[in-house]
Parts: sequence; structure tokens; C-alpha cells
Amino acid sequence: MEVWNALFWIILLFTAINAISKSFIQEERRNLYYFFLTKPFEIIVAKLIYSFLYLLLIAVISLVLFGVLFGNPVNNYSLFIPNLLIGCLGLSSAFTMISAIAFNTSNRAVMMAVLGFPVIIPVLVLSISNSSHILDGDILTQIQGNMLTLISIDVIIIALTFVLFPFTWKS
Amino acid sequence: MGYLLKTEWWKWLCVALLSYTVIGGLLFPVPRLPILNETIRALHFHVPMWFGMILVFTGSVIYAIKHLNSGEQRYDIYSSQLANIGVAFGILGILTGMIWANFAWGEPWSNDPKQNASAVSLLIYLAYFVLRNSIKDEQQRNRISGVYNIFAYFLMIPLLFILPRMTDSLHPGNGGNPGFNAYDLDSNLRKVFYTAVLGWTLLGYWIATISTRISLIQTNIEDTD
Repeated sequence: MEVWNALFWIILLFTAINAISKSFIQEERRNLYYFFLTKPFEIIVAKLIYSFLYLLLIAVISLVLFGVLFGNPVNNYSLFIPNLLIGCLGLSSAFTMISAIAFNTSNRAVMMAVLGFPVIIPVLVLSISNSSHILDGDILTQIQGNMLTLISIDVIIIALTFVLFPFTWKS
Repeated sequence: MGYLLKTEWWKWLCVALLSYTVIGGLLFPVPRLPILNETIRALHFHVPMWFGMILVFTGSVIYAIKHLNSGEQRYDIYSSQLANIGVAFGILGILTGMIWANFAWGEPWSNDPKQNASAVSLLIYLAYFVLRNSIKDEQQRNRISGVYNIFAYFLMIPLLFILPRMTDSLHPGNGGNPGFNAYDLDSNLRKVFYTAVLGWTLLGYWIATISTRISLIQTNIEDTD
């Protein structure tokens, strides 16, 4: 069960890095067009929503695949799914901001990993420990504190992204 | 000799405070405790490193915000030099912590949440220097590294101060362990400890003034060439 949990989140982490790092690089040729057409605020809202939904899709696919290949230890979906949603929100928004930063560097793929890994640790640690508690059969009151911390870290990440993104967009 | 007299007063204060810290920290009586014994003296040399690191990083973030607001190159130099010194403080903090842990916990690195968190927060700032070196255009480099500095700082705070308190940690003051306040019945530790915090922070500020001056001169020379 511990192994299942760790594998699940590690795979989610790596797919998140690869999937979301594309969100700016893939659209390199269109960026100039966006630059004249829209405000940075609109761009970042769109990017955040897109990467969140994209990561969620990946999470659902990997959950199904894990269930087929390794069995499914989840017995409390009413807690597991909210934790998954909050964790994915943190992962996707942090990596969106990091990919906006890495977009300006000369070696984008490497910088994405170098900048992203240390920054994502708080989100990852909290969501892994929450999800392992949930798999062990803990109820909401036992993991309330961790959940609230995770939500507040998500809020911090999203707020910082809104404030800081326009500065990476000006180039 | 004339130069020494003209030196600013807080530099003398820094020297005095640090001399008091070293002498008092090593010679003053300390509470006799099982396991800890004399290693409680690490309090004066380990904990102030983290105080210094956090203060210096906070300064670095403030200058990064100022740089983003005004676009002045001067502020970016302040910000990056302060981050440099913060990393130096952090490395010293980890090393002094490992020396202490070798006696108190039996091994220098026991994957304690607090140890891992401090290692990760150093990685964040090492990534900051990698980022600075990977952008060629100077103005863009200053702006992007400022953005990353602010983003990373606000994620480092929960990492260092909230997460280790929520899990089982061996570190004093975390996970239900008493901090040094519980042992310091006759306030002897406190006397040296607060002096140490002030002294090491002043030393960090002193180094910062010198390194920013060097860096400013270097950029001026490059600009005139």
C-alpha cells in the first residue's frame, strides 16, 4: 500500500513536469500573437485552468491503469478524490509558473526540472502523507490539519503566480 | 590606525558581540542534561545561522520586489549578493547541525524532516544561481531571477517552519520536543544566545555591504569598457 501510494504520486509528478513544461514551449510561435491580443492576466488564468484539467485527466488515467495492473487499495473515495484534486491543483499551478520562468532560459527542459523539484516538495510531501493516511483508513478529522496546510500552500502558489506572471511575460 | 578609528560603530559592536559569544558560549556554565551534556553549546553557533539565513533571504526578497518595481540594476545586485550570503549561512547551519546531531542523535544525517527541509531550501537557492547563469540577456536575467526568488522564498517558509512541526521530528522545538527554553532555568543560555543572534546577523550584514560594493564596482567597470 505504501509502495502503491508512493509510485502513484511519483508517476504523477514526472508526468506533470513533462506535460506542463510544454504549455509555453509548445506555443512558442503563437506567443507574439497572444502578446498583442490579450492581457497577461487572461493568459495565466487560461494556462492554469488548462494545466489543471490536463493533469486531472492524467491522474484519472493513471488511477485506472494502476487499478488494472497493481490492484486498487482505495476504499475511501470521498477523501481520496478531494486530496487528489488539491494535490493536482498545487502541482499544476506551481509547474505552470515554473515553466513560465524556464521559458526564458536557454535550456528549458533541464531548467524546468532544476527549478521545479525543490519548489514542489512541500505540496508533494503533504499530498503523499495525506493520501497514505487515507489509504490506512484515517477519517477527515485526523488529516484536517494537513489538508488545510495543503490548501493554503495552493492558495499561496496561485496568488504568487497571478502577481509574478506579468513580469515573465514582458519580454 | 586612522582607518580603524573611522570604522563605523556597528562593526565594532559586531566584533564585541561575537567575541562575547565565542568566549561565553564555550566557557559559561550550561545546564547538565543527559545525552546533551556540553553539546547544548551548539545553540549559540547553530541556531543563529538559521536566524541569519532567514533574515538575509528576506532582505534578498525585498530587493527582488524593489527591482521588479523599478527595474534598477542596483537592486538586483543587492538581491543576488544577499542570496549568496544566505546560502553560506545555510551551509554553515547544516554543518554545525550535523556536528551536533552526531553526538545527540548518534549520526550526522538521520533524514529528519527538519534536516531534509533545510537541505531542500538550500537546493532552491542553488537552483536560483543556476537560473541566473542560464539566461544571457542581462535585463531579462535580472527580472526572471527576481521572479523566481520571490516565488521560491514563499514556498520555502512553509517548508522550513510548518512541515517539520506537523510530523515526528527529533529536532528540538518540533514534533512535541521541548526547545531550549525548557532547559534554560537560570537564563544563562539566553544571555549568550541573543547576543549570538545579533552578532552573527551583523556579521552577515557586514559581509553583504562588502560584497555588494565589489559587485557594483565590477558592473561599473564592465559598463565603461
